[in-house]
Amino acid sequence: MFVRADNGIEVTLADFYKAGREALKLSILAGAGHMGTVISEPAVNRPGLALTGFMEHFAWDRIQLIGLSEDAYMKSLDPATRTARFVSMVEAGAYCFIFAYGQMPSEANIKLAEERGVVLMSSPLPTRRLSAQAVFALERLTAPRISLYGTMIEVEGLGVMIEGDPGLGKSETALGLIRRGCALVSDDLTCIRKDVGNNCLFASASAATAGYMEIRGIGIVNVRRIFGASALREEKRLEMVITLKRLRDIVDKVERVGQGRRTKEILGVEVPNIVIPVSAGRDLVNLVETAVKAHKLATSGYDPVSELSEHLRIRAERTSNG
Amino acid sequence: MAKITRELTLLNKYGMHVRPAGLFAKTASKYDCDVEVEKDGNVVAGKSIMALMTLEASCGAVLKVTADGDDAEECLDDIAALIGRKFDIPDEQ
Repeated sequence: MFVRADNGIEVTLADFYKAGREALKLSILAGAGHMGTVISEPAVNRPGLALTGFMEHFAWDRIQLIGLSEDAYMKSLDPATRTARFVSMVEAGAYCFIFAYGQMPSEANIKLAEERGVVLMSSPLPTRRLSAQAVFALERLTAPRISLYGTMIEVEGLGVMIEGDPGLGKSETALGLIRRGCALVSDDLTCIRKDVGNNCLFASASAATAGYMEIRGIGIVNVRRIFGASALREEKRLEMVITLKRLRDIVDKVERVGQGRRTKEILGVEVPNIVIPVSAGRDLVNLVETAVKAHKLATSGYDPVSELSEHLRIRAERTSNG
Repeated sequence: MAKITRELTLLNKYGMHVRPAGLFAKTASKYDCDVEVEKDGNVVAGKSIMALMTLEASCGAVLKVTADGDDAEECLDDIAALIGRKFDIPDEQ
């Protein structure tokens, strides 16, 4: 069941400021009242040529980054030209400028920005780091996201989400795996973000409930307090989905050989999927752990089904040859 | 089968924290119908404590509670009464 998909979400300067506050060390110099402006193109631009007055193909829709060179060039201009160049960028649509190396725009520039509803920010970071961090923050903000009902856990280094109807034992299985040294990412509700560049998914817990589980009959459990810090992981790549189903619901569809590879599509990424039937007496912790080990072997090229087939064929040949 | 939605306002002092979420999920779980709760566009399962807490709904927040099933009406009556009684939590009346 899907809960929430924030695809195509609009990112505002306020979102960007909040998300990158620590990494980018931003401070707002002007236009604090216009932080609701939507970032039309989530990328950064060094306005070099636009500062010289050449406005063709000026990427006004991105966040403008002012490095040492841009700043020095602007300061070399007479005040009237400087103002005119700034105004022409703003009139082209530019809405946010960030000054690297802790540089400060002139008083006139700040006043102008306030009048025009343009946001000016400053960061002590060097331009190249500021640029990299800004792109990273924007990528994360605009990543396709979805929340799914499932318990996310790291098993043998592999990120596994256990899903299934309520009451089948997702959390209890995760609890058993934690006792065996696995680390919990999220219980019950898992937030998934797509890394578009690498076409893979990352899972984390909702910030409101990270580190806690609900176990029926016991109640809320603080995982860190009971099992220690190593029993928790903040974020983990989602590499496998294990679906728990009641045996009676799928009795004729249960995998018996294990050669057919199923996948489950999440945000356009195909994730390997194994369906495990749940019935009394089946040790889910052991099953999940074994499924993960078998999957790791399979992805490393080992195929137990072909191996057993070959073994049986050789035995059959020997028997028929007398 | 009936699918009913009601808008319910949280009245207790601290909103949807652990105990209210637990009582909400417990009440919803007494019924066979599916229960979903929406706040600001986020929709979560009404029978899951963890999911309810992720709504971070504070006092005064309006929850759109949807029940789908034969006993939807009774279920919503029960939940509305629980929210109306401020989850029977003495410190939050």
